[in-house]
Amino acid sequence: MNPPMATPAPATSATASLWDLASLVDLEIAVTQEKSLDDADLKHRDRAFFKHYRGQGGPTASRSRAFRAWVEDRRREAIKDIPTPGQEAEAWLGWIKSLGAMATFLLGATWAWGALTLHGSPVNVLTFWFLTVGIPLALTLLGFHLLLGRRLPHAPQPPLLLKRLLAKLLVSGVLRTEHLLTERIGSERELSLRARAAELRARFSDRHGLVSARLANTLHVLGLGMVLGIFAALFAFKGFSNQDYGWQSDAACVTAARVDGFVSIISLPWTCVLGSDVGHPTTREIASTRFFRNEGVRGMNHAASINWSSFLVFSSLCWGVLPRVILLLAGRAAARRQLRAEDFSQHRFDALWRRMTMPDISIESSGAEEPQSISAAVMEPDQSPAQGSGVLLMPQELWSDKLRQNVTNRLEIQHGRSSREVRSMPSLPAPRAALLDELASLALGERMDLHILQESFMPPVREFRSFLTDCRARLGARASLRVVLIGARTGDGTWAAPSGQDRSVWLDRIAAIGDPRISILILEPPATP
Amino acid sequence: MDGKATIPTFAVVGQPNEGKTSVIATLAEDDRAPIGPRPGTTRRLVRYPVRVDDDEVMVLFDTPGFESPGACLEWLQAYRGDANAAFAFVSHPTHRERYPEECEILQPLAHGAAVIYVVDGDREPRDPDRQEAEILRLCGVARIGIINSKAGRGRYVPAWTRLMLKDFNTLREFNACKAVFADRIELLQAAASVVPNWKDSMRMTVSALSRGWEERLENSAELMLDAMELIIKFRSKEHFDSDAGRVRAKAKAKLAVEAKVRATEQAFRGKVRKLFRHHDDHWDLPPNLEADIFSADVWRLLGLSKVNLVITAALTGASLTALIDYLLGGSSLGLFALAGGVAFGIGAWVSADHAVRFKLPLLQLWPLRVPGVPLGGTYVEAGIESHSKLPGILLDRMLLFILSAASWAHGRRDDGNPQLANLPGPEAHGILNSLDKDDRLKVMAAVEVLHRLAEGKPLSATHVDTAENEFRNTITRFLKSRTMGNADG
Repeated sequence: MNPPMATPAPATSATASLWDLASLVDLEIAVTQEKSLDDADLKHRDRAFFKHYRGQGGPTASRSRAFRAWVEDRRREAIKDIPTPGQEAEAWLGWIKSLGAMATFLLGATWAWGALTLHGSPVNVLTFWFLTVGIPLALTLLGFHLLLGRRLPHAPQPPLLLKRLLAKLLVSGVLRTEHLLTERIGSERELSLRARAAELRARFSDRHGLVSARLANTLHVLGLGMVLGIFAALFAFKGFSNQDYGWQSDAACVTAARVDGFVSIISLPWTCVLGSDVGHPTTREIASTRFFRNEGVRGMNHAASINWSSFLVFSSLCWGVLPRVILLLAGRAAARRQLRAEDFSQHRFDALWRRMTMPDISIESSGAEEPQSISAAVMEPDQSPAQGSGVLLMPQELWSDKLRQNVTNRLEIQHGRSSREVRSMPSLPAPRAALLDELASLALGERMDLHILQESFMPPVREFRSFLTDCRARLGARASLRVVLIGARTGDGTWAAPSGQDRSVWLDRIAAIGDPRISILILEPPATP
Repeated sequence: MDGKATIPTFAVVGQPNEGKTSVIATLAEDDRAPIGPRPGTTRRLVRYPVRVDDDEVMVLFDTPGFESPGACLEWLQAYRGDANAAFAFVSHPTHRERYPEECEILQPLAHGAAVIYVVDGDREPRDPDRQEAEILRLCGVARIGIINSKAGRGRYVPAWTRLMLKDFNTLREFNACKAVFADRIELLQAAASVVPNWKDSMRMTVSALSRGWEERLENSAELMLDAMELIIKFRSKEHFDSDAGRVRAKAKAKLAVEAKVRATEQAFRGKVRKLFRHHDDHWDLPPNLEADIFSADVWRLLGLSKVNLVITAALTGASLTALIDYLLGGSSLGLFALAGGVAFGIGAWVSADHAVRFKLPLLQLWPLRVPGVPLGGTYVEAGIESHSKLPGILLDRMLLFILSAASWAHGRRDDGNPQLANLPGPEAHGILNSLDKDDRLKVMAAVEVLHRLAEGKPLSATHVDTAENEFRNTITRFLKSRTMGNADG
């Protein structure tokens, strides 16, 4: 008997943590990889997991929760200290984000520093504000626009002719590259790579929201690096440089009053908190720091310059860094919401869900045995001469005059055996024993020729074989015992020929008794008129 | 007859060589159970626990045949003790040696197992059979009679019915070599009724088995879709740079596509075989499945008929292009749908008999002779022809194979064509043609979607998912109707 397969109880937590990118990637990879594995083993594992998960009170109707716990379970099975593909992907993404943020920080700082020093003194605050605060703010606003689910305006399309020309050039180049690539890596590998790419595309095709949320989140990190770089450059410039600041515009509509209004609006956030005269020049200072192109600095107010510089630093903080931080946090929340909204109802997860929720049914034998090998003993046809007292035993239930007559006739015609007496043979051992007593008394002093009629399709069971050995014991060594085989009855007193298979079974079993004077006679059916 | 065993336990008993192990093998889906044409193949008790989630819900016992029924009956008739007769017989100090087979048979009965008594409906009942029936009656256990007509003729079923009707709780005809899932469930449902204590447990078991079967059918549909996707998306690509090279490249690409189709079909069959717990390739398939998929006979007999193919393609084309009419608010008077239908229909008519389609790039650059710098050249890409009969043939062969695997009884050991349950001439017309129009459209629409995906045409994820779900549901429903009968209730 085979013991039931022991299944280690999975250390599942029904309250597994929420979805993150690493878990999602791990789930996708596991589902793809396990598609080609043995389904029975997976079924056993996943069903055991689900039962344990359910036992711990995990919500069984939610694919999302169950799959999350399943991913944790797979991670526990994995080799320790080796990150899973999802964790690796997450780590790589983290590195890319960090390096990207550092790069954009440097870019922002360089951008701001360069803009401040490029044209020398005085710095035109209006232009500089537009470059270092206005553009990042516009990009941040665009980020909010997209975050709220709005679409980007359509980009202008190039003329059709130009597009076609470009397409033709591209096709030519692509074809040649493709040819070289195929020659280099072989067409099978190329097609396999294409298939993988298509698989990857398919994985993301139903997760546009999630992919764009993650992408936007990465862009927000890069954007934050940029505005922090600008802010740091402005802050440093304020501390280490004595450069003058002023404003200049060729447009007639840009007057000191309008610039004052603009400054008041921009500085509103911090003046509300820090006081009305902090971090921006006064109306008089604004009027006094206007300068004109190509006229250089004439009696520039240095105190006003310091206030302009504070205005820029505060502007960068309030309109550059803070909105970007808010956008980053909102973007993260959106990405988390997207992950939480995943219901994994896509078809590719059905198999896993079925394996978990459908009962695992097994029916196994407790130990199969090999078929019995029986030596195919073939007995010689019975050539022994007919003896004195021929007795035919007919099973009681087959008893009929017609059958008795036909059997005795066939025995005589086919085998030259006559039956002086025909007796009915009971089927139970006790009456058979009584019959045997009677036969023994008949056999005294004679060599008995005993024929026992049997239907070949009935198996030669131990009980019948025991009866034969009892016959031998009671009738003596000189008695001839013959099992007369007929096939299934076909009518009143007629029968079919025993099948080859049945003959062979009877021959084997009778031979196994080991008595050379017990033989088998096959009785062919009587000819039908 | 209360069933002392805590879980439903059935001992399959009968004369030697009556097909007890075949019945067990079919019920337990065990094609490795030792079954032989000679009596005495099973010589000792073999236990088959049925587990649902590692919990034993039912136990089947395979037993050797009665070898001394007369002696056993005489002993039981003479027994006057208080203990359970079967238990008393088994516990007797000399019986283990004198009547080993009877002891093995009565062992589970002594512990409250019910009996499934197997007889061969192709032979007349004889005295030993009556003795055995009486033994079982004296043991006082619940009894289910199974008439297993081994040769399939069942000539003596009425005689057996007369014999067993009085003393058996229920009587069934059950051919272990032809029984399909519905027959097995029907037998278990009958068995559920014989011991009231086991009723709930048996109902749960039957329900678990039915759900397990449904899961297999769903997995089969899934495997079909996977195989179709693999085949349809497959592309073979060969480069060439001369006219002679083009012919060679085309032939090579075509061979690669054909090899892929054959290999995928083989892999599919292996998976289906495993799904239905057939360990060996031990049955002969119908000629349409045995023959090579690209053989003329298969193409003549299987797959959608040309008329059906054209109608299906036209309807698919019309449904795809009807969207344009819809977007135009009906002002186009359905002309786009009509044009789409006609185009797809003509496409199907023209390419029905071609398995492989070749595609050359739009821009072909012939080699430029610049010494030392290879320039130009082009390639041919081969894949499955989208309007060909081939997808239909593949689907037909897959469905036929699933039905073969699902309906081949595990207790059957001879080779021969499996009995395909209620299949109206499947070998002559294929299965797709026998589906109703809606189902056929759903199946072929999924195939069309796979073709469009393979060709890189844009399709929304929802569209693809819907088409694939329709395919799976249709195939699963069809397989359920053919293999489960009323067992899915």
